[in-house]
Amino acid sequence: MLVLAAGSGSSLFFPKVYDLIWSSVVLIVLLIVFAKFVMPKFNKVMDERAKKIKGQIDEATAMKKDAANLKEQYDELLGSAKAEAEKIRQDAKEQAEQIVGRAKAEAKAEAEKIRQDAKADLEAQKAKAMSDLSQEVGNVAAALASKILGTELKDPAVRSSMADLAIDRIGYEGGKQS
Amino acid sequence: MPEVLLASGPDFPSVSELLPNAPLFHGTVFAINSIILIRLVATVLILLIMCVAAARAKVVPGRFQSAVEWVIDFLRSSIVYEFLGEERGERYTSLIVTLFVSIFLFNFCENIPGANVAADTTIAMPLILAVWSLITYWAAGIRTKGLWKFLKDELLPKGVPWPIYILLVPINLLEIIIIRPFSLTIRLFINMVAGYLLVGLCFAATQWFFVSTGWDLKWIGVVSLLGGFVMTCFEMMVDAIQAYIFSVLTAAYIMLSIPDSSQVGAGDPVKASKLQAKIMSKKAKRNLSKVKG
Repeated sequence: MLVLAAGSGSSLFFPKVYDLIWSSVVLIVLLIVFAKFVMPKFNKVMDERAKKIKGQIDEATAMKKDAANLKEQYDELLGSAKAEAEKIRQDAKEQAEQIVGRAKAEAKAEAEKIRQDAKADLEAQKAKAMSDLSQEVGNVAAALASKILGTELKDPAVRSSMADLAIDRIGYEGGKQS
Repeated sequence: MPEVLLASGPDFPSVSELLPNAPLFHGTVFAINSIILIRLVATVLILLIMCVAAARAKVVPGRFQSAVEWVIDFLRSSIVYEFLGEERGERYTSLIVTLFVSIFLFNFCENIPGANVAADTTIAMPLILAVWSLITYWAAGIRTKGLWKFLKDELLPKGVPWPIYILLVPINLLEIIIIRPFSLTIRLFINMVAGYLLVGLCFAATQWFFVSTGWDLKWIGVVSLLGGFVMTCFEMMVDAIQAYIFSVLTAAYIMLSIPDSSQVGAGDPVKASKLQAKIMSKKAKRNLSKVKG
């Protein structure tokens, strides 16, 4: 009631010409400046930013892809290296086993050879000893027989049979004792 | 008795204050009163703020640029793209941003000490803004459909029995020519006038109760002072809301005037393909001019 007391309420709804002109000027200036300068500038900057961000995202995606490829290559290399190492280890083990086996076989063969040689040597020694002994015993037996008979045994066949007899007896006695 | 109350009571604001004399260029069509002066100063400030922000705009923004970009982005996404879509809305982004920023800052002048009145508290400014909105949605409709098709779509809605058209045609014509701009004008103007009177009323009462009454009534002054602060905060919200409503309604009227490329010609494949080709051609031309530019 107090507010409208001045009686000019309806005048508010009738615009003045100069007010309309200034309002139009203000709006037109604002529209032109916004349309021609402000918005294009902001649009340009925002587009550039969006482009840059997109570029960075693309770059990051490419880098991620590269990293994944590198990891794949690394895993592949690691896998092949592991397989290689396993193969080398297996080969080394096999070689070692072969070397050990060969060494064992060689050692065994050597030992057998030494044993055979020793045995042969022993046999030869034994034969030689038996031969020597036989000869010696023959001689002793012949000497003893000569002394007993009072004559020298000149026949080699007799002397030999006497020696053999003596050796057999010795052998018999030895076998009996053992 | 009322005269006594008026004489001895608070100095309440009057609508006559919203019809000030024009001391500058008095008697000419370029006369300037205090409200127009506030409007011109506000316009210079808007141009200064936006031009400085635009001129200094960088890809990596500072706080000020971020704030301005936030406003632009908000208007673009929540009004323009929401109502018109990205394809159709691109053309009208600048208009909507201009409307919102200028209306909001004109409204906000009522909260600035020294101005104390919104720069659009005379009916002329809301009226011019509404007329521009009217021109825009008419131009949008005529450019897209042609005058006859635009008027036909607006005045003769499909699926209505023909006798109803006798009523509908004048109502719709009235709506697209008078009611829409009038409602835009009155809504903004009355809100600003009401805000001015309410805030002025609170502070006038505060001043009167503090200065001209006894101690027993001064508590009313405290209440009215608090009321003044509350109303000022409320008015700040109203300033933004009114700017938003004006912008939204303008976008909505444009949306009603131009066909949605996904809907128009839906029943007619030839028309749909022609429209699609037209849109594609326009887009290509725009991109070409951008590249050349």
